[in-house]
Amino acid sequence: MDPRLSETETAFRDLVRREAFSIGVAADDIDQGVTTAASSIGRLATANILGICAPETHGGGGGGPVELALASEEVGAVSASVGIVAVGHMVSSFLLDILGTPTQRQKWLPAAVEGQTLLALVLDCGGSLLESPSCGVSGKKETDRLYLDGRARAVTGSTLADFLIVPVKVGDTLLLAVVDADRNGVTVGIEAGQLGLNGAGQAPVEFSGVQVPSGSTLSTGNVVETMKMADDLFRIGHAGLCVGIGRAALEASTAHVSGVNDELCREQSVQWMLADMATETEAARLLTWYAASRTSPGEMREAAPMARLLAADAAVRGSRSAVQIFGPAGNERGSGIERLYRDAKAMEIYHGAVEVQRLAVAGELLPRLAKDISPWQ
Amino acid sequence: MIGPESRKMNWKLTDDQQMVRDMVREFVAAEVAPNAAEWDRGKYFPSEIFEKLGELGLFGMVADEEYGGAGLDLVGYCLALEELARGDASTCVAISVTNSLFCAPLQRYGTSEQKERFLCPCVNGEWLGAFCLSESGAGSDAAALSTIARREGDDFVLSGSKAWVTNGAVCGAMLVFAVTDEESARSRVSAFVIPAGHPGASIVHEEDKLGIRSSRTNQVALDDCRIPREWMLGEEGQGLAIALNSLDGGRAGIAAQAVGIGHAALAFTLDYVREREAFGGPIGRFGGLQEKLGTMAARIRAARLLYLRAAWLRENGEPDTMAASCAKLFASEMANWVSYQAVQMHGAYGYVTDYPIERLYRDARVTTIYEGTSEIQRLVIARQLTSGPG
Repeated sequence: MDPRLSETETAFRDLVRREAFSIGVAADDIDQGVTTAASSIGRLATANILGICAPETHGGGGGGPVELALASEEVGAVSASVGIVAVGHMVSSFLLDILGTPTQRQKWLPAAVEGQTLLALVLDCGGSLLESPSCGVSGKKETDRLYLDGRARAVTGSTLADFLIVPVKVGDTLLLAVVDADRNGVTVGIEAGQLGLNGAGQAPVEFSGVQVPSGSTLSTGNVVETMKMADDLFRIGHAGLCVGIGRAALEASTAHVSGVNDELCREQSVQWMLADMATETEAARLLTWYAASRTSPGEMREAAPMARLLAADAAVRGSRSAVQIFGPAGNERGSGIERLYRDAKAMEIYHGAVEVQRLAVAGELLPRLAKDISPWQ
Repeated sequence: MIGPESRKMNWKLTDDQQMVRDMVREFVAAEVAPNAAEWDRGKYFPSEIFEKLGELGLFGMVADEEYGGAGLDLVGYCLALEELARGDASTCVAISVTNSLFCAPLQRYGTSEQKERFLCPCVNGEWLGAFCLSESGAGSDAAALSTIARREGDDFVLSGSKAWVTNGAVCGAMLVFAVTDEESARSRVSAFVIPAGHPGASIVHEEDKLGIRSSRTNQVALDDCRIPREWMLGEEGQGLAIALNSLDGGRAGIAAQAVGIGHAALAFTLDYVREREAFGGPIGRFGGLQEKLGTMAARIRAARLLYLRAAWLRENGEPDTMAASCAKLFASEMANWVSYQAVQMHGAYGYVTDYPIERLYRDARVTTIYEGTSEIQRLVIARQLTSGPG
């Protein structure tokens, strides 16, 4: 057992942290709609972070869930909006890689790895990946051609995306359609003001009789199993973002009370909040790393929703405490503190709300006998 | 993969760690868990079981091989404590105090003579250890001790009264902290090892407790208790440092105990919600209960990772103060929350002694209190954050 990051993992985390610094400078502008997340996403691509989990044969970094968790914590700590777009792109790339034919991989992956094209998964906002076929978009086959119809309420990254990855059920078959966002019949709406995760390109997407070209559906191998794995990656990435929010709240609060206002340091009410933030963030981080380092899909399926729900709890509680510690200054728009709180709240909802995660954990536990519930090696 | 590398973050147990975990798990399932309820009701300290636990080497798990110990690392030790606590938290605390608060300081600060005399009997399973720090007026504020150790020639004479001594009445020797220099601020206290039954040291009271009822918690009176200088552990004035270091090391162990309690509560509850029927089917089908179960499992798993990490850091000589306090705080609060939810899901059955749940609920309560309350852990963490190196 060794609970520390390895040297390569540490080096990668430090690389992301350096890049994240400049994203952090733009975070409030992204939140307030002054600029979009696109240039930040571009930065991540240039630094080879966006493609870290993609295979090396297509220009990626060949990393896995651990790299996803590390990258998402760092980006989440500066901008959850940028982070959630990046995670969606990375998981989409994973789906392309596993479910695509060699031709399809060659066609889409290198551009996605380099950040020339941005991918967005068409899910309904609150639903998880596996529930997505019920998100409102349906597929219909007519004389061998697939047509998409329907409307997804809020698709993360859709206003920024070049390609939309749409999970649809055709009859009993689940498949993914890769749709050019400019294609006829696709209407991406306008991102409305939201409580949190502003600037993440969350807009409604409407499909009216969109014809999916042959060669643009992904269905190689076991689609359902791959979607389950992608769902777990999603959870790990989102857990990482939440850990990042919690850490940002803790670091800002610690710096505030240590530097600006030394008297606050001695207030037990403040000390209690700091201690709980540190403890809950650390617990969530360990659980995220643990989930990410599982080598069997079964273990990951149990641990990933655990990480996701604990991390969201830690982010909400931690950022709420941060606003409290900063007082009126933390309540000001543009302070960066209240944004953490709004983003954390939104993270409790998007792409598998915490309730869904809790049920997922219970669903893993209940079929087993109590004496077998500790698969601790 | 990023590239070949010998060391990667991982949570795999070593063969030794798995072996001790499995050995304790089997023993607990056969001999401890089935009897825990009866011991609890009768406030019965099961000496016959402790004889066997001693033979298994559980009294001196952390002692060096040089003194016949298993030389088990702290991760393996904490795993053993979790297994014990799943069966019976009372049994667990007796073992935890002996190892963390008696053997570990002797191992670290003792002379070879002291180890021969006081540590080896633990390793050989002959006796349990006790730790006498708290007094009626000095708990979290350990520096406020009033027990005095007066120097008389080559001897020390101890006078005072020690409270909340786990294993007091059933130990072979105890580690006693007393004031040797009233004027000093930093080196006021020294540590002494006193064998049980030594003239002047007597057990005067046994506490009647809310939880961990089959463990012994006593008051120890020191009445002109004369001991030779050779029984002083470490340097004169080093007592408080020894006490705090021991407690630091014990925190991961108490976190492991709390995880054991939480795990047992979840396991019983899972069985219950599958079997108990209401409104036409098992109550486990209700989403409200499932959500609670999911959160319970997540918190238990996170607490386990926290104690494993804290134990690993200490074992490897890395700074562990923050990690140990986080583990203790999170795990003990988790055990209370989880056992509360377990009682709630059992309804009336969780409230009566026919089911193990009320005992787990009572046993969990002390984990946020002893070996550093949650409030002390929060203070430690906050200080580390605001003044520590990082």
